[in-house]
Amino acid sequence: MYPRWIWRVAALPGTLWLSVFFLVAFYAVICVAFGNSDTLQQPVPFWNPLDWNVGYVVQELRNLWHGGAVLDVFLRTVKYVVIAIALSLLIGFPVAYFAARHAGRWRGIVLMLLIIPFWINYLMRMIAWQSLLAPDGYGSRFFHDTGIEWVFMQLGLLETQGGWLQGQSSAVVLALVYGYVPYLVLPLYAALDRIDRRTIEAARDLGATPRSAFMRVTLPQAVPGLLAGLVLITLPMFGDYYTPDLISTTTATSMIGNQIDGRVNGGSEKVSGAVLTIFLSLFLLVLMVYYLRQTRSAGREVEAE
Amino acid sequence: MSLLASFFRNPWGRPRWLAVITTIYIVWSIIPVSIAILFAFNASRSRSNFTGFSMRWFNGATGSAFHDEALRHALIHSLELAVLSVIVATPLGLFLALGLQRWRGRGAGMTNLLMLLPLVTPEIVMGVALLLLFISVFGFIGLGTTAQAIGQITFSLSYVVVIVRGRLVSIGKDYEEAAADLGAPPFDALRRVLLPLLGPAIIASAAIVFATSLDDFVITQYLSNGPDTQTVPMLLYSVSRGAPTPALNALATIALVITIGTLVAAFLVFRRFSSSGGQAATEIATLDL
Amino acid sequence: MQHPKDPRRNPLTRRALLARAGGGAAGLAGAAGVLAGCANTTTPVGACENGSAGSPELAKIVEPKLVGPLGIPLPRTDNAVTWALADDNPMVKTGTKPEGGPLTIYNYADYLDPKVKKQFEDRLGVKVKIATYNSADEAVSKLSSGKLSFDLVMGLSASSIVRLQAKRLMQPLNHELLPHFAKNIWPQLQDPFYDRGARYTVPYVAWATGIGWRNDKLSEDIAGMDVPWDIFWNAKAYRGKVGILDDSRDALCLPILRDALRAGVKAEINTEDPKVVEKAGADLTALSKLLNLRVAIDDYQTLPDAKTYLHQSWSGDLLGAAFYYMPKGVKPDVLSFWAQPTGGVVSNDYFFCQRSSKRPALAHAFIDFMCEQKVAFENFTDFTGYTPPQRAFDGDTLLKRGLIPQTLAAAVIAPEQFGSGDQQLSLTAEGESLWQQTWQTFKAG
Repeated sequence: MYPRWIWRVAALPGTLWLSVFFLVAFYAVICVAFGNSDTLQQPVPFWNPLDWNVGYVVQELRNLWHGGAVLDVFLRTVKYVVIAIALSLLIGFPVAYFAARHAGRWRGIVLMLLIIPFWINYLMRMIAWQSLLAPDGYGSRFFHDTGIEWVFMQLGLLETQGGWLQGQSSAVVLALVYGYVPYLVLPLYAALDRIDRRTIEAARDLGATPRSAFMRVTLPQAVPGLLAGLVLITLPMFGDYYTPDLISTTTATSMIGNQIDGRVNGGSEKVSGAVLTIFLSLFLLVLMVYYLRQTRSAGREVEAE
Repeated sequence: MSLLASFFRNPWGRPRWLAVITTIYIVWSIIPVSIAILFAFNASRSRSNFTGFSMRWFNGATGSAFHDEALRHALIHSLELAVLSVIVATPLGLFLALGLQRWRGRGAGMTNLLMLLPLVTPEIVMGVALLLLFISVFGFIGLGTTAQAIGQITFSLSYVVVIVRGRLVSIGKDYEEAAADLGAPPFDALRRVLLPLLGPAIIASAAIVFATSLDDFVITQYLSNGPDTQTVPMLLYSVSRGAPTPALNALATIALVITIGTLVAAFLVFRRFSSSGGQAATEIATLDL
Repeated sequence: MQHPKDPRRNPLTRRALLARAGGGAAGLAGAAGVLAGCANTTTPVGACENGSAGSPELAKIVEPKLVGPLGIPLPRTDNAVTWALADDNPMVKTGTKPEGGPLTIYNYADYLDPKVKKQFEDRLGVKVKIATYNSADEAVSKLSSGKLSFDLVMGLSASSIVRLQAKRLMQPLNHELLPHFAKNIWPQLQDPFYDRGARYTVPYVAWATGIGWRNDKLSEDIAGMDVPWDIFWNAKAYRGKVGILDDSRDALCLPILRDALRAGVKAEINTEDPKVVEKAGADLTALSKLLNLRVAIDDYQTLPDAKTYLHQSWSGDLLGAAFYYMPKGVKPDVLSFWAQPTGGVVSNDYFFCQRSSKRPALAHAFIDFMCEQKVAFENFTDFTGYTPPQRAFDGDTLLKRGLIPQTLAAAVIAPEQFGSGDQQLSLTAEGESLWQQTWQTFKAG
C-alpha cells in the first residue's frame, strides 16, 4: 500500500547520521592510530588507507608495551571485570529469580525498587560510596562495627582499618559490582520472566524434583538472556575509568580505561590512546558480536510470533 | 532458625531465602543513595556526619546549589542538551525504526547492525572516537554544545529505534490495512492511524533520551570545551575529586528528581495506552545502558 | 626527494621523526611561520635541521643549543628567548576599555580565591567563568587541539611555553594596560628568561616543589635528614597515606632529585636521557608498589584531613591548607614543609591571554587586578597560599607575627631563591614524548 521506496527513505536520515557520527568517527580513530603525530604530539591522521603506516603502530605498541606495563593494566582490568561479573551474577540471579517467580503480589513494588537504582546517576551512586567509605563515614563505621572490616582484613582484601579509599582493589571491584548490578538484574528478570511456566510445571508433573526442574528446564532457558545480560554489563565495565578514579587515587588500581583516558583526555598522547582504543575494541568485538547475534535472533522470534 | 532449616529441607522450593537476598539487595542498592540525599539536607559542611536538617545547600545565600553560578549553569546546560537530544533523536529514531521495520532488501541488515552498534560500544570508545572526529574531520564544528549534543544523539538514537520497533511489532499491520481498505490514502493511514498508535512509544523514547542525556558523563565530558559546556554529571565528577560540600549532594538530588520525574511521567503515559504496566516499566528500564 | 607522506618508502618510526624535531609535520603547516624560519612546509622530515647545531664543524666550536618543536629555541637561563611580535597577532590597543563579560579563565581547581574573583566581578560588573584542568599536560594538550578558547589561562609555567607558542596560542600583552605589573612584581620576573620583556606572560605566583607532611603523625625529622627525599623510600609504615603530585614533570623529578642529592651533584631535572628518565619511572613504580602511592594534586585537602600523612607537595598547597582547609580543632602547625634549599625546583607560573580571546582588554584588566598588592595578598592569605611575587611581600614578617607557622617557613618563596633553584623547562619534542611515555607507563601501575 505504500510506495516501496518510502521505508528506505525513512531510514535514510538516521542511517546517514550513524554513518557519519559512528562509522566515520571510528574511522578517524583508525586514521589517528595509523597516522603521524606532529612535533607537539597532536595527531596528524592519515585519511588515505594507503598511507597507513603499520610501522608506526608497531612502534607505538612497542612504546606501550614498555616492560609489560600495559599488559599488567590489561590483565588487572580483566581480573577486576571477571570478579565483578561473577559477584554480580551471584547477587543478581537470585534477585531476578525471586522477582520473576516468587514475588507474587509484591511483584510490582519489587520491580519498581529494582528499577530505581537503574535510574540514579552512576556517578551519584559512586559519590554516595565515596562519603560512606571515608574513614569517618557511616559505611566505614558500619563495616567496622559489624566485623565486615575485620573479615576483609583477615582475607587480605583491606590493608588498614578504615582505609577503603586508599587504593584497594577490593573496594574498586565492589564499587563496580554496585554500579553495574542494576543493569544486570533487569535483563535477567526479563529473561526469566519470558520462560513459559508451563514447561516447568510439565517437568514437575513428569516427576522432576524442584532442583532438577530448575537445573534442566529453567536454567537452560534462562542462559541466553543471562549471557546477554552479562555481556551488557561487561562491555561498559571494560571501558570504565571513573570508578577507579573516584574510589581509589592510586596507580595500583588503574584500569585500561584509565590508560586511554589519561592519554587522550588527560595528557598529550592521543595517538597511543587511539591505538589502545582500537586494541580494546578488537578485544571486545567477540562479546559485541555475540550480543548482537543474540538480540537479532531474539528480534526474529518476536517478529515470528 | 526456621529459615535456614527450611532452606536445607528444600533449597529450591521455598522462596524465603530468595526474599531475604532480594531484600538485602534492595536495601543495599538504595540506602547509600538515600544517605547521599540525606546529606543534601545537612546543616553542616560535612558529607559524612549528619548534624541536623537544613535547606541551606539548596537555597542558602552562599555556596548553595541555586546560588552557585557554576552549579546552576551546569543544570541549565544539562537541560539544554537533553532538550536538544530529544528534539533531534526522537524523530530521527522514529523514522529509522519505521524504515528498518519495513524495509526489506539490500542494506537493511547492515543498517540494523549499524543501529545496534552504539548500544554495545563502551562509552569511552565512543568518546575517544567522537573527540578525534571533532578535532579533525569536523574541526569546523569543534568541541562544545553542538558536539556534545551530536554525541548524545548518536548513542540515544538506538534506544528510540529499539522502543519504537518493539511497539511496531506489537501493533502489526492490521490497523493500517483496515484504514487502507476503508479508502484512506497511504500517508493518511500513516499519519492518522500509525503515528497515534505509536504515541506512547514515542513519548517513552523521548523520556529515555531525555534521561540518558541528563545522566551521560563520558561522551559529554570528552566533547566539552570549557565552563559553558559543563553538565551536572561532569560537575559531580570534578567536584567529588576536589573539596565537595553538601551542595554537591543537593545538585545530585535535583538532577535525580528531574530524571525520575521524567521517567515516572513517561511511565504513566505509557501505562495509560498500553495494557501491561509491568511490561512497560521493564521495557523502559532494560533499554538503557 | 621522496614523497613525504609515503610511509612505505620512509620507514622512520614516529619517535625517530620526533628526534628530528625541526620539521613541522603536515598538520602544523603555517602554525608558527613567524616564530621560526622553517615552519611553512608540509615536509615532515628533516626540512629544517636542528637550528644552531647546523653543521658538524660548528658543533666543534660551540655547544649546540637545544631546539624544540618547529625549531624554536628552548628557553634556558643561559639562553633567554624573546618571542617576536607579529602583525597577524596584534596586542590590544592602549586605551581600550575592558569588554563586557563574561571573562573565561582556564585554571587549576582551587587556584584562585573565590572572594578575589567576586571582587573583580563587582568592580567591573562582569561575570568570571572558570574552567579547570587537572594537570599542565592536560591543559597544554587540550589548548593545542585548538578547540578550546579562553580569554585567560593561568597556572602554566616555563615548561609549557614552547608548546603554547608553537601553536601560537598566546597573545602579546600591552604593558600600558598592566601598570601594576611593573610597579609591584619582583624585578627578577620583570624580564624572565622564558619570555624576555614579559611580552606574552605575566607571573602569577612563585612556588617550590618539596615535601609536605603531618608532623603529628610522622616522627621523622625530615628536614634534618641528609637526603630528605629518602623519606618516601622509608615510609613503609605509612603505606596508603603517602602521595605524590599528579604532574608528570614534578613526580618524575622526585627520584631524579633524590639521586642527585645522594650523589651530591646538581640534578638534571630537564634531562632527555632515556636512561635517567626511565630509571625515574621505574623508581616511582617501585615506590608506588611499596607505598600504594596516592597520585593526586589535592594534598591541600588530604593533609589537613589526615587522609594523607606525607605528600610530595607544591609549597603553596601547604600554606593554602593552613589558611583555608584545616578542620575544626586541628592547628595549622601540624603541617610541615621542606623544600630543597639549593638545586631543587623553584619556579613560577604565569597568566597569558589566549590569542583567540574575544575580551583581551578585560583579560588585561584581570591580570592587572591580580598584580595589585592588596588583591595579591588577599589571594595568598585568604585562600591559595602561593607566594605572590610582590615587591612588598614580606614573608619574614608574616612568620614573625605568627601568621604563618614556623613549620611552614620553607613554603614562603623569596625572590633570591630563583637563583639557587632550578625550573622545569620546555623540552625537545622527543624529550616531551619520552617523559610522557614514561609517565603513562608509571600510571599503568
